[in-house]
Amino acid sequence: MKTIPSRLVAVGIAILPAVLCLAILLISRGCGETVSYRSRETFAMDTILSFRLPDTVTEEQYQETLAQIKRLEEIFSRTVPDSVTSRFNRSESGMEITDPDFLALLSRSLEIAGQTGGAFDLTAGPLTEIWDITGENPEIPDESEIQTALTAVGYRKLTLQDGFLSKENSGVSLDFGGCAKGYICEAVLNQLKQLGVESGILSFGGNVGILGPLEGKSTCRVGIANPDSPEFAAGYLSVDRGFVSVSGDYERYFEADGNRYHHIFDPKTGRPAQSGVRSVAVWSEDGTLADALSTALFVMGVQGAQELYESGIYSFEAVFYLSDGSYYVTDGIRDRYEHVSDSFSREFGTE
Amino acid sequence: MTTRKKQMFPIVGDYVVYAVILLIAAIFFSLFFPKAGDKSLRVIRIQSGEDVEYYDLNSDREISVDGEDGFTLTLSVSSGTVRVVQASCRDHLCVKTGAISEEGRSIICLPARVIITIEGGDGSDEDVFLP
Repeated sequence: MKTIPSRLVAVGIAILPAVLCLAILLISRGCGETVSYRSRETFAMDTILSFRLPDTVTEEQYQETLAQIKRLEEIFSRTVPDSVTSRFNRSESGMEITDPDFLALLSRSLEIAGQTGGAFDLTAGPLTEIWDITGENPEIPDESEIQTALTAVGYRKLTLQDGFLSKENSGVSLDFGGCAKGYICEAVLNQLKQLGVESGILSFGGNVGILGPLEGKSTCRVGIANPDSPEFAAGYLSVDRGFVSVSGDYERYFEADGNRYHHIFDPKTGRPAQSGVRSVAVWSEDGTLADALSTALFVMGVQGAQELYESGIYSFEAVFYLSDGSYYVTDGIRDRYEHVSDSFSREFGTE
Repeated sequence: MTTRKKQMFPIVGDYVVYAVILLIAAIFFSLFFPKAGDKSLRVIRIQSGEDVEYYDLNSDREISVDGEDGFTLTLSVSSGTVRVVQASCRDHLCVKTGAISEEGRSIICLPARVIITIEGGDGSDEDVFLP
């Protein structure tokens, strides 16, 4: 009977693991098909926009997305003199709205304002102006100045009927700063999807849009800034789609009398919101909702946010970092959140 | 019996097989561990308008940056971190950002249109950071 030479057996044993590893490698990498990514950055919408997209996205396609952003910015911006927003803000009593994007975001904003009891309010622009948080020498406005500004604040002072948007008094103005970036991020993401782009990440100044996990990954790991030291992450959210938006008191603020005066205003008081929230990150499959709710939940605080979450009106998840040193994560995203911060060391509701 | 003993010693073909095994192992490691940490590779990417410059993050120094509209920034590189220590812009958000050291982190000065980003390094598993 023939026997297998022992040298052949030894070589076979040695080579087997290597062959297995190679097989696993090829299978996991789609038999050699790999995607590489290119990062691009540009300034628009008064912020920086970052794109991490597959190399297959051509310069022409990228320029098309920038053109879309410019088009939408020129509709919603309150600093572009001829935008729909600026024209409405200059009007005495209102104007007819025909632009479909404007109508879509306006209707959505009014709806979210209503559902959040005005915590998100697209008429809060006068408060931003009198507080001038990012100005050279910001000061706390007089109470009378705040009360005057409040006469022009409140989403109920707007009425949209049969395509005509009217305002209660001539001072009422629109400011889409709390939701336009989310809306535009979603519009760009959909545009890229239509081009067949299946993975990549968009980051538009506090709003992240996920086309799909990067090559070789099952989720996208999103670092959320620690309000105490914003250059480091307090936690990580691992999600495979949708949008993540963040609002925090560390972004734009000034300090006076030992207090921090930040840029997220409570439309009811006319002052920076004091809800016990330092920052909140919201995940949703709807970009406009994620952006608007990050402001609304900051103003509402954890309890108000819990009520909205449990009502089921909107589908979202959220991570809060609170001024008492705790953090709170909604139930639906607990298994996708990793907490790494020592400064927010305990979960909300625990001692 | 003598013939079988001789077969136990390596022949040229065996060395070829060993070389193939080593090659496969090398490919395996290079593909699975492509970013085995070397923090000395971290660089600072400074984009001012269309101009882009790179600096070593581990070399302490001060860097002056001319931004748009006549705005200027002074950066301090120290102990593997970089921060904006002086800026002629109005809001000084870039100064308030503080020091950055991790790959992918940025300091942005909107009025000057300057973006300072850390690149390279130990391959953080973070895909995107929400500042």
